[in-house]
Amino acid sequence: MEERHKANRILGIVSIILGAVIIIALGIYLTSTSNPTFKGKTVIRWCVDPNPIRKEQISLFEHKYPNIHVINDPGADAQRLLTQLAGDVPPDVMTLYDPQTVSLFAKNDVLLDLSPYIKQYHIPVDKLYSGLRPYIYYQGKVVGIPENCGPYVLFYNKKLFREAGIPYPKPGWTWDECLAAARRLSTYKVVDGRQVPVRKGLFINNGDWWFFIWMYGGHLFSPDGKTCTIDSPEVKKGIRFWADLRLKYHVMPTTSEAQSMAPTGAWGSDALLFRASRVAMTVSGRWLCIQYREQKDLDWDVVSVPRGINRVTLLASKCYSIPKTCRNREAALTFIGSRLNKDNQLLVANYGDGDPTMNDPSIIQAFAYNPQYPNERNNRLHIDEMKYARVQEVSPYIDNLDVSAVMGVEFDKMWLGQQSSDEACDVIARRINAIIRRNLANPNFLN
Amino acid sequence: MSSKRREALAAYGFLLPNFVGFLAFTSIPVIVSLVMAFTHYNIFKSPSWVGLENFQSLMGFHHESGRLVPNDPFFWQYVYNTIFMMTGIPLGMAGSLFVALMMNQKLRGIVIYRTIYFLPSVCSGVALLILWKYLYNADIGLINSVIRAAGEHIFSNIVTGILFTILCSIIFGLIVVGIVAALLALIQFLCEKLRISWREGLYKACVIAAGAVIFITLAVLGPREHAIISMFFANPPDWLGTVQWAKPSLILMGLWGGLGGYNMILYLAALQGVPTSYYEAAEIDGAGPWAKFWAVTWPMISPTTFFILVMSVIGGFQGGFMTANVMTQGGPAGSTMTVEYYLYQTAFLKFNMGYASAIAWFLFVVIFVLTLMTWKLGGRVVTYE
Repeated sequence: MEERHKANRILGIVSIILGAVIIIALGIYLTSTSNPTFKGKTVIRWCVDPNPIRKEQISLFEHKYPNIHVINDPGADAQRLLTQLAGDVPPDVMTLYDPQTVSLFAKNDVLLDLSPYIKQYHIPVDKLYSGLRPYIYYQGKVVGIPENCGPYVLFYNKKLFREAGIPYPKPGWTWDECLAAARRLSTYKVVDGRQVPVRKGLFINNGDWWFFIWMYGGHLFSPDGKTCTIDSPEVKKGIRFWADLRLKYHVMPTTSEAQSMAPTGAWGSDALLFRASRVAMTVSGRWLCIQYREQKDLDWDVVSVPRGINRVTLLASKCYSIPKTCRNREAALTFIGSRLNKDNQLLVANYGDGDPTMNDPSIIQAFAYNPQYPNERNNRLHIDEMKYARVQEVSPYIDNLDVSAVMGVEFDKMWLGQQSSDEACDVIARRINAIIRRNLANPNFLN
Repeated sequence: MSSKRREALAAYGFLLPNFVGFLAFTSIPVIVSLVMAFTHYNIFKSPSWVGLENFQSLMGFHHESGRLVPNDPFFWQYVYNTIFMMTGIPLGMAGSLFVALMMNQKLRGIVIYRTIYFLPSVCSGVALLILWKYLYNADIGLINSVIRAAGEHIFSNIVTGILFTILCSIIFGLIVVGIVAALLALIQFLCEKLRISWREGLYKACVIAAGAVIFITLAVLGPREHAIISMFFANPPDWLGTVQWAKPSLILMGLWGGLGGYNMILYLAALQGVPTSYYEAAEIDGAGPWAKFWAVTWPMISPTTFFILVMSVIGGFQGGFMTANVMTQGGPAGSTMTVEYYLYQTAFLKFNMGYASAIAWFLFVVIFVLTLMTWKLGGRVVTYE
């Protein structure tokens, strides 16, 4: 009798577990296949980074379009997007962070061609800065709408410049002038007979090689993308200058020095070093001012990235795209179009997350100075730099990750003194060209 | 329905959720990945069959400008890195056994010691890695600060400097002799298995000869050793920033976390399972502590040693992701990139799922063969009670 009771209880528990599994599975199935609604409104899912400004952006949009409810689905890394697309639960609007990802998604026919909707949804793509084209177009079709962007500029610590008696740099200054300032701004202390850096004049991330590749008019790839041209005399000259900044003039910290100078103790980024006045100059996009604003005692300003024979800087951005399989196309188009309106552009830009992407005088004027942030009197520079900004070069015949891996390894050897900058360029060109040749011979890669 | 049948039904019912989970999230993906390894698949488009191309690209070589170069310019370097990192396994196992032997003593407050030694295993991995990054820092790290301070004290006086050099040379010499002795023991063991005769006393003679050669060489190179050692103490290396030191540094860090971790717990459990009557019998036969260890403890804990070895080899091939991601990003110059990190990059950053599956299956085959070999060889020396 007792045994039967026990067995019944066990069966009951099993039924409960199975029931729960079935209900959960059904729930997942239903939510993934149906069109969710919220109080009768159309609901769209926006896959984007979990930046605090997104909430305000959504409020602004929902206020204007009360029939659309936007859910911020935080996290828009490509693997997350791919998983959602492969599982047929695509977001309505998704973020793509670099031109190669835009090309990859567009090439695989995932992105909705926005060209037919430009007029109907009042999306002023013609007013976007031309430097952003790789984020907008793929084979003549409009596939992405960039909301904000950031040409790299040089942030400098005004107080340290004043203390060293160095005049503030002016837009268009040269790398030689930058080097001279950096040498005067680098200071050391002697600890137990050793010279330990207290401050370095300049910090440029190891992966930001573009300034030096372009510095003397060189390019990483030939125009057809089939040859890596990092071994050209122009690029070699630029890379030599980059290596000298650290290895000859010691104005840039080594990776280890940067870690030991970090106020957090062996970890942290260039922004932390700049905030702690451990580096006097650093090159980055405007988004870093979000961090610098927190440092009330930091007196800083921006100036153009120094020039070589030509004035050039790196442009970073991100764009919003709509998957072809999006279930709320109209609402998504309305949302994506509204990313370019003045209120939204200024909201994002004033928060500090890059610059406006619209070449619109009224937006530029409003953006140029926000009295709330007195250090940012020079916002106009960010806009002016758009003339000189270009996105990083990519070749359709090699994965960008392979390029970064080869360059990272060979430049590491250069920093460690295992090879000269010229040798590094030669080896990189040889290795990248070998991969390109193999990829060109492989029909599966080309397809 | 009979009670037996009902009971069986209930048992299946309990097993079902786990089985469904295993089927859905383990076995089906494993089978799918095997198929994918023979395809070109980037998630966007349906997989296309490419036969052995992925394996050929991964493991093959081709001639270029008269040189034999790997088809994949990165893979073999990462395999080498992974295997190099695994050299810490025997050291870690020996260390864990040593700690377990100490923790098995009947001392006051032993539970506190055991807790302290186990603490690294329950601490957050990322926090520990950041801590070690700080310790290893070339300028402000604790390790280099201690080395510099010690160097200043030792080498400020010529006599202490020379004595310290001699001490270092002896330790180094003993380590090298130990390695030679272990290799010779292995050769002797294999010879016995292959029925190749090994003359009585040859092992001892070889070890003594090797020891003599090593120590004479060290003595001859004395001044140079002194210069190298004093230079090392005056200017300690950038542990994580140089190709030569990055991997050994990571191994050392792994040893710190591993000595008192789960392996120690396993060894402790095994040691406590050895019947005391065996030790008593050995004592009656006149065995000392060393003889008791080799004749009783070592054979009795051999199943645990075997289990730890197999699991460590498997873990070693699958490891290195978190360390590389948090501490070194695979650098410098790719010297700490492991196969697992490469697999992640290929699958989730390059979206080359077919190729990533081929890497995964390469790993599986290597692990499977090695486990099988360990099983075959280990099975002969493992003693089951």
